[in-house]
Amino acid sequence: MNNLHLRVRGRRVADITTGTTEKNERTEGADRRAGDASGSADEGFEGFTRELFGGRPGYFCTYLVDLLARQNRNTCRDFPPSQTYHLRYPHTPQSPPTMATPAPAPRLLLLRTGNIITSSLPPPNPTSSTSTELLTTLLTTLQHARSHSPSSWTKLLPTGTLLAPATLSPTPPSLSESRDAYDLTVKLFYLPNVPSEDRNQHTLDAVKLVCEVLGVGRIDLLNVAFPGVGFDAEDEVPKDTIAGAQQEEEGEVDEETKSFLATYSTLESLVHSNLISRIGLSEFGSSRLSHLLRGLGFSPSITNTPTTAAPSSTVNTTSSPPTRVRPSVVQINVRDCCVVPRELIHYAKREGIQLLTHNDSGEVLTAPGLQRVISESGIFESTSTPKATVVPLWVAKYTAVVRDRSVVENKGYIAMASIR
Amino acid sequence: MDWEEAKLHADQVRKLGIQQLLDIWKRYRGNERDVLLWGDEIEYLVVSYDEKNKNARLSLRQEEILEALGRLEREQKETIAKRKAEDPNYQSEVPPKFHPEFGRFMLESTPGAPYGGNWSSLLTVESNMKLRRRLAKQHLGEHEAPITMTSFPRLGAEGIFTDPYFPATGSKSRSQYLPDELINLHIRFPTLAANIRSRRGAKVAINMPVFYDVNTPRPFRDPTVDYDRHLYPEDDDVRRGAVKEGHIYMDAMGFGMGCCCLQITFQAKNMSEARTLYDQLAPLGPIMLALTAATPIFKGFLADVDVRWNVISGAVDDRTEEERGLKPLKNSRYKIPKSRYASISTYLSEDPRLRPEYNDPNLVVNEDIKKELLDNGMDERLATHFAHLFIRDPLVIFKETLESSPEGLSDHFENIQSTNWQHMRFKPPPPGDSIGWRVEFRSMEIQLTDFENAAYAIFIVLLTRAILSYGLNFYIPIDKVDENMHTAHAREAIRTKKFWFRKDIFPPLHQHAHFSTSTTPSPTPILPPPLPVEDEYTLFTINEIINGIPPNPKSNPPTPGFIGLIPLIEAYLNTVNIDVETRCELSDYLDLVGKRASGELMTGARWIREFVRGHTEYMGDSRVGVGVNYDLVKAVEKLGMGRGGEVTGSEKLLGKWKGRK
Repeated sequence: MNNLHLRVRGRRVADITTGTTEKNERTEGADRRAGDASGSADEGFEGFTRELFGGRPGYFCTYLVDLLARQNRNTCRDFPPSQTYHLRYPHTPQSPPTMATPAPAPRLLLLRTGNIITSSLPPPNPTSSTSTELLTTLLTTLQHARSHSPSSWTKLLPTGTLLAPATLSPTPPSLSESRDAYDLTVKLFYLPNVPSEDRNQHTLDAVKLVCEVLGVGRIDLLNVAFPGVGFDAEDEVPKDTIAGAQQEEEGEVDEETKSFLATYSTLESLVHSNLISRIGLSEFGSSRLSHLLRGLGFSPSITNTPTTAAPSSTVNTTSSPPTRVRPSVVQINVRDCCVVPRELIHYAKREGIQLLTHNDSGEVLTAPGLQRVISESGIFESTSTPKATVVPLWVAKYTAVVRDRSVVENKGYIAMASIR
Repeated sequence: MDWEEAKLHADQVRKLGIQQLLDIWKRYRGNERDVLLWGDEIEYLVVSYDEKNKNARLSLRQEEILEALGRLEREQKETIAKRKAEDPNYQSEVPPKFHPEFGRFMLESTPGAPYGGNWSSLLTVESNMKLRRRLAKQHLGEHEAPITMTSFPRLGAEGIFTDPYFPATGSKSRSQYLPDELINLHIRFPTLAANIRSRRGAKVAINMPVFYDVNTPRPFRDPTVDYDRHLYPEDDDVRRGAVKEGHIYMDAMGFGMGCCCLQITFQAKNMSEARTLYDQLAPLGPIMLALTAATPIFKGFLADVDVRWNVISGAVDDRTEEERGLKPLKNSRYKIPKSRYASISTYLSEDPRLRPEYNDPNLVVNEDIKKELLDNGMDERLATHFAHLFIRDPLVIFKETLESSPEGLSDHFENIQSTNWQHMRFKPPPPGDSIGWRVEFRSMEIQLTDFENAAYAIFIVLLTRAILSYGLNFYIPIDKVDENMHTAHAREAIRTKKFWFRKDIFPPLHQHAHFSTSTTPSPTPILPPPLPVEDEYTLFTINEIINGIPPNPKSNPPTPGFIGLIPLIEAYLNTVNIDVETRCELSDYLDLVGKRASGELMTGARWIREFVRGHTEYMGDSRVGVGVNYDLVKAVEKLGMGRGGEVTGSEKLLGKWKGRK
């Protein structure tokens, strides 16, 4: 896995992202009426199968990227499939796979809901917690897919990824207007007990999959939520935060911040490759935020020491490496009341960071919850391991809001789990 | 033109109006992607205090005040233009606008430019309203003040209630109570009043039930009716039974059109969205009327109603006796069940969720006009809507407009359209402008403070966003909306009455989702057969509609509960990116609406009623005297000017006084 991470973080990710981005721009330009996309959802998978069976085992971690390449072809009629194929994969094998090959055991499970904003609000209401909403809508989606086409509602990719439902992009296309009309937000929940070094790959997967589902090449805001990071108004001891940060200025970066920084560099690379425009951090109080900003090399913007203050707090100055990207947003939970400490409000303002609200529940997806969805929907029944257990890896929640009208047009979830 | 002459031209105006409508419709039906723009209209009464006699009266200085405000607006615009010329980056708010209204004691204000769909603009609503009130106040005399009360408590009462005083002897209204001098001087308004009376063949007759208090004589016979006046032929009305026992009697257009309302207009992205919003907001009209109730006093008497609606409805009821069904049809064309000012009579969207059963099968339409609209390609529902509006006669016709070309204008269309004062209005784009299809929500009562006015305006705006985002369905049969409108009048309707409302407001599962797993297009999802229409709705309290009902799985049978409009708006707010400070401010507004619905806070009507009943000069006989009125108006003025902290009991109306900006 580590080997692959390097690839992802290195040159290859740039190639991949550039390729995908270009194609998506074309996709956006194309007329995306319902009829266009309905043609051959399966075709992409066939091509993909061929490719993988042709002797590129070990390319496990790029499965999604390959999948995306194939899928894009289907929604983009003015882009000849063969061209995509050869541009991207000059060493394509010639021989198609034989379907007699025994199916491998699924190793990863990729789940998605449809657009839940109008289609499957969980009864009784859409105010239920995030985890209830996710589980209910996943189950509804899966049950619906199953009743709709009982024989082909899940799809096992030769890479070992089980897709449920079997297609990634719903038809008709998800967005009815041009890309620019929308504010697209993804909230990525990294889940507990998943090695933090896997987050880089998970982030890339999540963003690309959401792009694919929505048929776009770029997300406006990616909020990331780390497990165990909870904003607690009482934690915010005003003065200490800044003072503490100053004291530690010369010292070591703490372990937690180190791990955030490692993930953060992936987020930055997504900004550089234009897959996302802005970065958001969920539940960061001023202490965590100041540690992170310092770790990123941004001078703290302390207003009470004007003589030594950094030239500007809101733009990348020369004091920071030019590739560093400031977080734009901190998302905090204000479910009950508006007890946001003044200190945080002022700190965020100084740092040019927008404070946005959310009301997501702490544990968005647990293994038992997911297990229940799996057994109730019967995803594993047709696989070679009907009794498999799962460990959820990440959850991505996405929303598409029509900017000029503040209408939420699309909302959904994608979740990935490993299968044991 | 007076009515005798105008009625000869009625068909001609209708014909020209339909021609203009068709031109507009053909030109703008393809509008797409118009952004959300919206605006509020706030109406004020201008009061004038007589400090010596402790009397609060209505000031009739509308023209001078508007002239001064207009001058101010022009000056501000010039300053802005000058600053802009010096500095191209200069940004400034467009100065608010003030408009005349029917009553010469009224002002109407709108924001200078519409609000947009972004969150920050929602936070400017209240401050913009406050700015307007301040501007109005600055252009009034020392002894004058703008107040946002629905109806002046002593309008038409015995004694002096206007400044300057005029006797009620005018020939336009021919009212026993209201002088013609309180009507806006523009020829349109007195003509409107006179033509409604002439067309009707009698004065309008408004009877609102009196509130029987401990010392109110039973039965109550309005003691202010003069049965002996012989000034005009219409003075016979009262001798022919126009006055109902147990009711407060009013006899002029000014009683209704002198009321202040809070109206909200939205621009939709296209015609179809405007039609959806029109239909979906329609069932909310009566709910919001009851929730904003603020009118417990008429003509100096406490009434047994809390809202203004039926007073206005009666005040402009131009139907003849034949049209009202009192006599068989002979000279009139139709029997018409409602006044021109009433709840809507037909839904107009092409939404498949609009079941034919929801509309009234006996809707009165102008068949010739409907045919003409259909022949020109308009769809059935829209054609029906306009053919219904066009059963009415134009009330005010200006001769010169009949002689000029109707092309590129909308005046004849608007002549009919804008004298159909229904609780929703579907507004086509004005010709030659960049404005899109709009919908106006018209049932709400003006609130005493701008905090409340902003809260209700924003509540409705957020609700439209939730309706569009979640694809909500509020349809109930249109006659149930009428019934709710009636119910909304009851005193304390919020605490004592139930309203028809739809039980399941969400779209059926998967109606819009297509999870195609094969290459063949997915078949239409199989939906369960629709419920009988009568099972789709039931009776709710306002609290249940606004704040929701928790589901009860233990009851027998288990009840699914109801989400409630505020939780729904909160769910919507949790789905979009909204900053902390905005979210907190919006919570304050939603909190007010929620607490009004639950009864934790008083409606304006209840607060005013309790103010009167708790006043030392009140005799428990339903009469709101000069002294009580003076103190009430003073208190209301303080509330409106943000000095609620000085008013005893303001926390019962507004919650903890937050010293709002």
